[in-house]
Order: sequence, then structure tokens, then C-alpha cells
Amino acid sequence: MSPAEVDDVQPVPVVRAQGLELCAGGRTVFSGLDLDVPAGAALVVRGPASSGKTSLLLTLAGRMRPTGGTLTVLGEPLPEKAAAVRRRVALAEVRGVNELDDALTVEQHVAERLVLHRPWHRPWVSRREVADQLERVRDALPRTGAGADPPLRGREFVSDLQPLERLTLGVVLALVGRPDVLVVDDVDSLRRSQDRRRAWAWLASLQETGLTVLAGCSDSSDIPWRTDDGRTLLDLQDEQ
Amino acid sequence: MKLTLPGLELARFRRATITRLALVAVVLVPLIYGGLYLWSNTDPVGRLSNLQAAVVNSDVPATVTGLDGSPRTVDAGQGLVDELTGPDAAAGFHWRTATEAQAAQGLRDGDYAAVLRIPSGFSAALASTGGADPQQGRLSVTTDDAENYILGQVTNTIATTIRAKVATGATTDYLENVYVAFSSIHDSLGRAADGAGQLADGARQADEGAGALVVGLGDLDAGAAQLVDGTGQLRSGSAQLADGTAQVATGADGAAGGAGQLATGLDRLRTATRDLPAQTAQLSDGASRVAAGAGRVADGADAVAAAADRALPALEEAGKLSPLVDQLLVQARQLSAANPEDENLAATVRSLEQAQQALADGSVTGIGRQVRTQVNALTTGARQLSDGASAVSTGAGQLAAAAPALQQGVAQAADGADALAAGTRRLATGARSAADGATALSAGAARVDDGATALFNGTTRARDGAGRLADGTRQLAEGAGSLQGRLADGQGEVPVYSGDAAADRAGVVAAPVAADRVKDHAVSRYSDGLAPLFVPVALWVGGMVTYMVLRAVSPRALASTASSYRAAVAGWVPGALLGVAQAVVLWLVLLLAVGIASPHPVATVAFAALVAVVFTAIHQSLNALLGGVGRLVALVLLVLQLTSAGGTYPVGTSPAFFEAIHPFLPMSYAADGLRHLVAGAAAGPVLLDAGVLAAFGVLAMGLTVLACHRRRTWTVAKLHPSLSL
Repeated sequence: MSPAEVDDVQPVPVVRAQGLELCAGGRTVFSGLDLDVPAGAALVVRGPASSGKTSLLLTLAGRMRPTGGTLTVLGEPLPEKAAAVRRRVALAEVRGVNELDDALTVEQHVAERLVLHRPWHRPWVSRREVADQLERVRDALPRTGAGADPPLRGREFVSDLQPLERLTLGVVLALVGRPDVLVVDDVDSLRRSQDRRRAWAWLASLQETGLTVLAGCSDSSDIPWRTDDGRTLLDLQDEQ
Repeated sequence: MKLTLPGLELARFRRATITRLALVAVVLVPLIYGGLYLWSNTDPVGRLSNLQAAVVNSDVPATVTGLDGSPRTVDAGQGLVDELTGPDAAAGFHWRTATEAQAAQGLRDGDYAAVLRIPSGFSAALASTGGADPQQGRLSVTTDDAENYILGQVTNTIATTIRAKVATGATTDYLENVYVAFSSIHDSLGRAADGAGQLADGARQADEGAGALVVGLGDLDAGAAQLVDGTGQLRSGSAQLADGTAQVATGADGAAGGAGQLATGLDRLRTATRDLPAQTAQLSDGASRVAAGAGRVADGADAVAAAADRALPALEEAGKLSPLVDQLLVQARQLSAANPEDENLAATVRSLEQAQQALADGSVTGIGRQVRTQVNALTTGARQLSDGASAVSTGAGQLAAAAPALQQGVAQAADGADALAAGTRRLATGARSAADGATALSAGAARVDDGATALFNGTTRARDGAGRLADGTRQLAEGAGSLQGRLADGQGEVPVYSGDAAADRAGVVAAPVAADRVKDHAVSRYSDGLAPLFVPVALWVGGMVTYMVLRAVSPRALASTASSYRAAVAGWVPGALLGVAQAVVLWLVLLLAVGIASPHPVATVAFAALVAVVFTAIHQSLNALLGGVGRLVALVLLVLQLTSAGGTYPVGTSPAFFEAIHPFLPMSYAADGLRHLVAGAAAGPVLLDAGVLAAFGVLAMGLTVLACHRRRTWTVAKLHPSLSL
């Protein structure tokens, strides 16, 4: 495996990897990866199922320990400074890692995340604060095309959400801790291509707020590529 | 190998090592429970000697004067101490001598399982058992329910053993027997006197009876004499009777023969008289006809007589005709000779010859006269014949009338004679039987007579014997009366311990040593004693269940950018709240419904809540650190704590392993604190236990944070877990 396409080098890279390698259970997930992702840019990791996309994203987020090569994220060497990296790299919903709870509402998810970022002696939030947070995120996600705002209704249960809404909620929760890097897995798991295009558009707009976006997908055909959007595409192949 | 559904279910676990271990764990969990529990309870009572107990000897030796007047020193307290602490002591605990202060402190701290106190007057009390004012030697054995409840129960047995050992050394066995014997002698004498009185009464009655017997036997003797006379007469009379009946039998035999002959004759007579009526009837007819004929004869005779009367003149004339007839005959013969052929002349010649003959035989006149005579005689005879025939006819008629009656009478006589013959035969048979019976009677009467004679002789002797019996019973009655009197005198001389005096003396004599059981901080019931163990066990199980329902740490929290500490607390607080609820509900039910008593209910509930919170933290850390395996570890920890917490028997009575792990497990402190709270002991140990428990909680929380920290790093295996417990 090797990087397929590298674009536009920024002076302060958020992610810098050389010869990155991950082996587990006697097999190599990926190896020899060289990466350089500048701040405010986006890395799109593309590959078929079981090709190690999620593992690579978790590794870059400080949540999986690489078995070889060097890796620096936000200037911190990994895996030594993983805790510091984790505090600044947020995960949107990743299957098998931090699934949303179907039994909770949108509001409750936001409240949970808010409380987690509170000091221990204030283990609660008001409904007002939750609404404010939703409002803030709505502002951060600009209107795209002819579509309306992300239709997140506070009282709705997660099990009732549309796929795009669910993805949006994951992103919203990730942004609660005001991270420097956002990780979104399986962006193209959305069925409708208009949803996929919309999702990519939001991620691009978040990028504009200075956020670095690390995204995974199996198909990148819906990405509206532009020359100046600072996107890097990394293709992972199934190891077979 | 065949593929089966059960095999396929198990095949799921064959892929990875961890899953294979899970199967092994499933197999081993019951072993861990049963094995550990039974191992820890191998022989708790037998290992009581592992426990220290204190003996405090405050006894002062006493001096007593023996039976021979020499003084003797009794030091029972020291003797007991020597026995308990000696090399071959077998009195449950490992006894050590201690001062009162050491013992009290050691009991409070749990260093001593029990304290045996020997009071200062112990030897004096033991020495007093033979004296006028016997006292019990009183030991006291103290245990603390706040340290262990079961031990307090077991100590009862130990106290009994010690008491029995001391009692054996005293002289009381002998005294006991004596006192018991006194009472029993007294009672026995009373009963003997009563019996003698009854004997005297009976003898008097026997005497009266013997007198009556003498009189009765006299009467019997006289009667027997009369009986002998009577049976003598019976004997001779029966002999005569035998003779007489024999004669009767002989006579009856003869009568039977005669009656038979009579019957035979009468039968023949009956046969002979059968035609008599018919013959007499014929006779009667014949006689009638004879009478009638006789009548006609008489009539004819009369007619003959009349005719004769008329014939006589004729006959006289006829006599004058004779010379003419002669001339006619000479002429008729000349004619007939001239004419021989003429018949008429021959017939006339013959008639003239007959007539000349008839006239020539006699004188016709003489004949007439003779006829006349003869006719007269004939007439008379005919008349007599007629009369006689009439009389005969009359008699024959009467005879004919009487003949049937005669015939019937003869027949009846014949029948009667038959019956008579049969009867006399039976009479003869009966008479012979009677004769036989009379002979037997005679023999029997002879035996009766012999028996009556023997009876008479016997009753004579009986009368003599009864006389002697009456003499003897009179003497017996007198003797029994005097026995009763002497026994009553004797009973009065045997001492009687009545009422409280007897009870006191008996109590001291039977138990010269008493062991008072003292329980510090006593709890009243077994359930109160066991609650301090089982409430923590229940809360431990509650914590396990809590984290089967709740997740130890939210995966979203782990994946978030928030700190691990916050993630750990976020997972612990809901569990802790449920744990507090468990503790409060459990204790409310125990206090209000089950009836467990605690002098400090609020503190008890609060302590239990603390236990629940700490246990929750431990379960959370186990789950966070080890995941599903953490629950298996929690199960093992449960049984390790159950067996080493010393909740029933002191942990010192379990094998050393359990004593070794005892201080390192939180339930030891939970049980200890609750025991002190339920028993109402001092607050110090409770606070200490609470502090240790809190430390366990903090430690568990730290481990949880560490676990969270580690779990924020994923591995490929964790992304694709092969086993979820």
C-alpha cells in the first residue's frame, strides 16, 4: 500500500506519519503509510470494507496504538502522548466504538456530552444549555444548496432519526468538546447520494472553521472535489 | 466428528483462547463455590483452640477443717487455671491468664474470643458444700456478640465443660448421694409404715375370717356326719331297689309271655266267631220255621185225635165183617181159580187177602183203643213241641241279635291283647334296664357312702386346722400393729428438708459450680447475629446485578474527548444510587418486616449504604478492567469473602488461607462494622471499618479510572470482539 495522491503541503501539519504500520493478531492491517495533513485540511481515507479504514482513523485519533513507524498528531508524538491527542481529536459516531443510544433522545445525548465536559461537582446541565449547544452547531453548519437546516429535533429518539440526521448528531456531539480534529467514519454509508453530497458539503464547511477533518469512505464519487479545498485522498486496499 | 446442535453451540467457543477459558470458568465456578465454602467450614468447632481466650483468676485460697480436725487449704481457682492453660487442656479455646484490664480490652478488641472470670470467693464456696450453709462457686464466661455471635453460642458448651470439670473435683458427689439417700430413706420409711398399717388391717380381717372359718367348719363337720348316715341308707335302699327291680323284670318277662298267649288265643277266637252272626241268624230262621211246623203238628195231632174219635165206631163194625170177608175170599178164589186170566179178580183176591190179614192181626177194637191212646199222647207231645219250638225260636232270635256285639267284643279283646302283649314286652325290657340301673345305682351309692365317710374325716381335720389358723392370724394382727407403730416412730426420726431449703441444698449439691454466661452487646436472635454477614453478601450480589444491567462505563464517554475520570464517575454514580436504594430498602424490610433489631438503625442504614456504594465501585472497576470476566471474578470474590469474613464462626477457626486473606477483602470490614452496629457496641470500630471501606472505594475508583484510560485505546481485536460476556 502506498499513498496514492498527496496535495498541497501546509507549513504546520496536524498529522505527520512516516512508515506507519499496524499489525494485529498475526496480520498486517496497514504498513508503510506516509502522511502529512496540514491544519484545516481534510484527509479522506478510502477503501473497501475491512481494509483498515476505521483502524487507521482510530490510530490517528490516538485511540489505537500503531505497531511501527512514527506518528505525530497536533505536534504530539504517538503513542506516548495519546491522552493529550485524545482530548483534541473528537470522534463522530463510529460503529463498534461509540454508537449512539437508540433509547435516548437527541437532547439527552447532547446533555450527556455536555456533562462529560463539566467539572465533577456540576454533574448536570439545563435544557437551555442543551438548546444553546444545538443552536451553536446549527450556526456552524451553514446552509447547503436548497436544503433546510439539519432537522435535529431535541425530543426525537435516536432510533427514529434518518441516517443523515444520525450522522449529523454524531458530528454535533463530537464538536461539544471543541476539538481541533474531527474524525468521521463511513461518510458514504448514507444511502441517498443527495445525503452523501450534503454530508461532504458540511464537512467541507466545518473545515472552513479551522477544523481538521479525517473522514473514511468506500466511495468518494460524491465528493465535490475542488483544487483549493485542501483535501487529501488516501486509498487503502484490502490486504488481500 | 458429527455436527450436532449442542456441539455447534459449544463450537462458538472454540475459536479463541479467551472463549475456551470461559468454558473452563463455567465448569469451575461451582467448584470454587462449593469447594471454598466447605473448605472454610471444615471443622470450626474443632479449631476453636486456634482462638485465644483469657482466664482472670481473682480467687483467694480458702482453709477448711477436715473431718479429722486438721486444717486443709483449698485453691480451686489456681487449679482451674492450671488445668485450662496446662499442656493437655481440652477446653475449647486456647486459654491464657490475663489481668482484668487486659481481658476486658482484649475482649473489646476481638483479641480474646471469651473471658473466664474466677471470683475471689470461688474456693471458699467450693469448700462450703459440706457445711451448714452450702454456696455455689460461680464462674462467669463473657463473650462479645459485637465480635462474633456464633461464638457466643459455642461458648455455652465450653462453659458447661469447664463447670463439669470443676464439679468433678469437689467432694460433692458423695454429699449429693447422702442427701439424696436421706430423702429417699425418709420416703421409703413412710411408705413402709403405711404398708405395715395395711398389713395390720389385713391381719385383723384374716383373724376374723379364721374365726368364721372355724365355726363354718364345725357346721360342715356335723353336716358331713348326717351325710354319712344318709348315704348308708342310700346304699342299703339302693341294694333293695336293685333286687326289686330284678324281680320286676322277671315278672314282667312272665307277664309278657302270658300276654302273648292271650293274644294268640283271642286271635283264634276272633277267627272262630267271625261267622257267628250269620249262623245265629240262620238258627233264628230255622227255629222260627220249627216253631211254625210244630204249631202245625199240634194242629194235625188235634185233627188226628178228632179223626180217631170218629174212626173207632167204624172199627168196631169192621170187626163184625171178618166172617163175611172170609166167605167172599173163598168164593173170589174159586172164581179167580176158574178165571186165572182175569187181573181184576187177582188184584181183588190180593186186596181181600190184605184185608183178611189186616182183620186177622188183631182185634180192630183193640187197635182203636191203642190208637186212641197213642193219638192222645201224640196230641200232647205235639202241643209241647209247639210250645218248645216257640221258646227256641224266641231264644234264637235273641241270640242272633246279640251275636254281632259278641263278635266285635271278641275282636276288641284280641286287639287289646296284642297291645297288652307289646306293652308287657316293653315293660319287661324297661324293667331289665331298671334292674341294671338299680344295680349301678347301688354301686354308686356305695362309693358315695365311702366318699361321705372320707369327707367327714376331712372336715374333722379341717376344723382342727382352722382353729390353729385363727390362733396364728390373731398373733399376726398384733405383730403388724406393733410394726406400724415402730415404723412411724422411725420415720419421725429421719430428717426432712422441705421447700426452699431442700431446693437450695439440692441446687448446691447437684451443681457445686455455676458458670454464668455473660454476653457483651448481646443480640437476641440468630438472625440478628447473621445479618451483619448476609447484608453485605446481599449488597455484593446487588452490585453484581447492577452492573449486569448498567454499563460500567459508557463507550461514548470513553470515545469522547472528556477526561477518563469523568467517564469513570459517570459510570459509577448511577450504580451507587441504585446501591444506596438497595441498602435502604433491604434494611427497611429487615428492620420493619423481618424484625432484625439494631440500637442504631439510622447509623446502620447509613453504614450499609456506604457498603453498597463501595461495593458498586468495586464491581464497576472489575467490569471496567476485565469486562465480562470481571463478573466471574466478582463471583469468586463473593465466595472468598463469604468464607473469610468471619460472619458465622470466627475466621480463626477456618484454615489458615482464609485467615490470611481476611484483612484484604472489603466484606470483612463491612461485616465487622454492621456487627458492631447491630450489637450496639462502641462507635470506634465502626468508624475504622467505614474508613477502610472508603479506602477500598477510592482504590476501586482509581482502578476504574485506570481502566477507562486503558479502554480509550482500541485494538483491532476489540473492534471485532469474538466474545462478549
